[in-house]
Amino acid sequence: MLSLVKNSQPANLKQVVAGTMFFLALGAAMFASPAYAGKKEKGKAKTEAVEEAPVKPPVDTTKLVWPSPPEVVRIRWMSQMTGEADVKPPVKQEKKKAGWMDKMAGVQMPANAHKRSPMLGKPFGVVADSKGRIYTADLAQGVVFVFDTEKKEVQYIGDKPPIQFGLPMGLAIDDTDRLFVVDSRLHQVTAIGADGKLENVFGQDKLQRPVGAAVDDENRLLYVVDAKASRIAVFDADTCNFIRYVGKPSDPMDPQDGTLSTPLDAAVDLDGNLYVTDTLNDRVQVFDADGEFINMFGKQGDSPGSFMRAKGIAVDADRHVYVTDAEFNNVQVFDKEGHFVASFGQKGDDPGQFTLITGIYVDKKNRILVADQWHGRVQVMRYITDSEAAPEVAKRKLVTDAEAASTEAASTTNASPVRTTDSTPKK
Amino acid sequence: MFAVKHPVPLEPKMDAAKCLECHQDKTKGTAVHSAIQMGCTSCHEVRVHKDITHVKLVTATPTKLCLSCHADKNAAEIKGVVHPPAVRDCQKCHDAHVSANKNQLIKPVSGGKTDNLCLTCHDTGVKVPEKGSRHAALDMGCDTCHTTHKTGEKGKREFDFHLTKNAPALCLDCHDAKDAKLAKVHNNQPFDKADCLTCHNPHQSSRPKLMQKFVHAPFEAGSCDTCHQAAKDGKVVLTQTDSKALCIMCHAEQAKRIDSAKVPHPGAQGDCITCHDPHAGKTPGFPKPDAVNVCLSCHTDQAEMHKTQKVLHKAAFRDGCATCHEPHGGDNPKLLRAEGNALCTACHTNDVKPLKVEANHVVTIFDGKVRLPEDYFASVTRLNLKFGLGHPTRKHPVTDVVDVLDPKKITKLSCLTCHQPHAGGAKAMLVTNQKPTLMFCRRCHQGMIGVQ
Repeated sequence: MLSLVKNSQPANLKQVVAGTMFFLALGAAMFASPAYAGKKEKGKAKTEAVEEAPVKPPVDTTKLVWPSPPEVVRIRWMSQMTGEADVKPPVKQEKKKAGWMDKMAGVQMPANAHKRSPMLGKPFGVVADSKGRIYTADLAQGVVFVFDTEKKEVQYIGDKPPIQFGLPMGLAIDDTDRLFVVDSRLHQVTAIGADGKLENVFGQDKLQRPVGAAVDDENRLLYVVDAKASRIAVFDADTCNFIRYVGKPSDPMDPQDGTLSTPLDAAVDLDGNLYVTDTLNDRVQVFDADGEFINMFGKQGDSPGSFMRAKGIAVDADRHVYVTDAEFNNVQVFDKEGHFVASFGQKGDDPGQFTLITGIYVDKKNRILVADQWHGRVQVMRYITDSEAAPEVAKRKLVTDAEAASTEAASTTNASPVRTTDSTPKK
Repeated sequence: MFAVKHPVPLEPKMDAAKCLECHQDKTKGTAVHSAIQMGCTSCHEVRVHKDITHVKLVTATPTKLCLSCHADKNAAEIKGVVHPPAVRDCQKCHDAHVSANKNQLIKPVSGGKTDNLCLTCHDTGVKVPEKGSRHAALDMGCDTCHTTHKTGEKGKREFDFHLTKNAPALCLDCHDAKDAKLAKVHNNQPFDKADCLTCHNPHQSSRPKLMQKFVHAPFEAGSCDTCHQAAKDGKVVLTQTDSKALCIMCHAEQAKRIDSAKVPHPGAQGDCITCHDPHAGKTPGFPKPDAVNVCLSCHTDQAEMHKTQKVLHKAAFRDGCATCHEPHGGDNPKLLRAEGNALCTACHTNDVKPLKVEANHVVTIFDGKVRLPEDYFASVTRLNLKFGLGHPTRKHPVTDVVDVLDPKKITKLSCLTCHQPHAGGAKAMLVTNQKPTLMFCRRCHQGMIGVQ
């Protein structure tokens, strides 16, 4: 016992020394960390792109489709938008190999290293215009990001006077690319022309806490969803004059048809019908262009077709209704009658996964844009329309019909006694 | 719906002649909307904003525009049964400008599956079973017998099915009652005074000669003389002096039941043919005119309910009153087939396994007394009740509740405490006609959060 204690002292001393050495080494490593990183990559390439290269997703996004194979693909993941890096081609910079002095003293950072382009913070509303530009309202920075994949640049709306926002949330765009930005803090709507110039600021006296918006191109109506007042304000999309309110606050114990409880978003279908996420009533309500209640669907719950925190809503060219739910972090798809069709997405960090899913929009090019607020990104998916999927469906049907015919033929040619013994139920 | 941005810049206040320079086709056709004479701007509005021209309707919804002239078609003000597309979608059937068809219909109302406008929704006469029959009049067009916008008192066949005339007058327009061949197949009986639709299906049938699905055995066998003598002075003469005496020759057990039932049905004391058709029908037993209306002619309070209430119990107003009630007399009050909750739980619980009769494609309940279609239970709400608990929430009782502190105090609780059996003002047919929300639960559960 004693000898053990005696022996243990020098051993402890050794450990202390070793520990000190370790921390020293760690310090050195930290000091020369960029060089250390360079050393790690040494085997692969001597030069590398360092400036804002898009982060390579950890999953093979080319295979990211819904529904899962072997079903006919109806939604295909395309890309995600977080900042300039996603639209700009990566800038390649020659970088010298780190020498021993760099390891000791560290490398000098490039002069523009601190001037990183703004990244999307907390996107909420998202829309796209006829040219395919993606607009998203960033709550964190109070600007609207415009991702232009054709010009390969990101523009910002609301970063300098005369256009400035308090808390831009909902976005809506009409067929002539006029943008409407709903400002939740200043309770107003900003209309911006296709040329990017301020057209109008309106609605201060009509709105309490507006969050979402939608434009009826045909009837020239702008619907602004007012979460606090639990109603929808209807404006003329051209003159920006107030027309009427749709809906009224509902009794929380007995929500009647056509009454709303903290609605968050709206969408307009091809017939001019208005779809509203009635968030605290856990349902979607449908109104016609006159503001008359037509239909409602969804209930509280966690089964498919139910809602917990329904947020964004969109309607596609085939009149499917897409509803995002921040509780399930998925998008539920309904047909125009409100029957549940499918859902996609789940909670997570990878492409095709969402954390705090918010706004959704289906543009004229059948792209589904989904705002993923926690990750500060807009995920872009492609909806494969009924007509586009029809040839594949027909092909599959031919194959299954042929298979059925062949199995039928096989069953008739097979010796019947064998089959009857097989098919008798075992007790 | 259609392009919204006008390709050519226009003046806000322009003449219809300018529109017609391009849209000449909107004025020429077999059937032209009379409103085109009033000018394009009576329905369309030209909106110019920042050099961009939009052409929109003067109202937000097309239906509202149509109703501004055709006010008599307003479904909100019509009390009877309205053809469902006529409620909101005028343009589902009509073209607003011109068409090659009568009433500016977008397609003709006759022809094959792809040509006929009606067949876009209906499948009448499309799939006729083998060895079945199809009414030749279907090829003459649906408007031969139907006038889609004709409405009137709910519950009357003429209005519910939008018929140009009621049967038999409608049938006799084509089928001459004096035709010798026709008279012969009807055994020279005065068939022109009978309702053709009791024996015949007007569209198609799985039997020959458009016969209804269920046919009385002697009638099917062609042995008319079992019941009939030759008609005299245009009147039916039976082999027995009165019809009941005739029926009980074969159906003696029903007569016995009617006479000896613990709870008799006064309505069943009279003639059998008051309620039954002697020849054929859509449902077994051939109730006249159908399984629902057979009772409603006497039970006017239920008839009123049928007309006015928003939500109807399908077992009562689709499958017929005899699903729950015994029409010939029974053992329970109100002629019910079972007492208390047992009546409702015959369908609405998971425990009850209805007996399947494979041969007839039916399932039976109440010991085979009630026959229902094979797939009937696919659409029935079935509750998971255990020991009388489990609806509407997991441990909520659906039986009488005994107070543990005072065992003599029993709270009567049954299905009918909350639900109405026949119809209601909202989903779930609650006794107060309100929606199944927490508001309703407050009737008993007072002192909850949110209660003032």
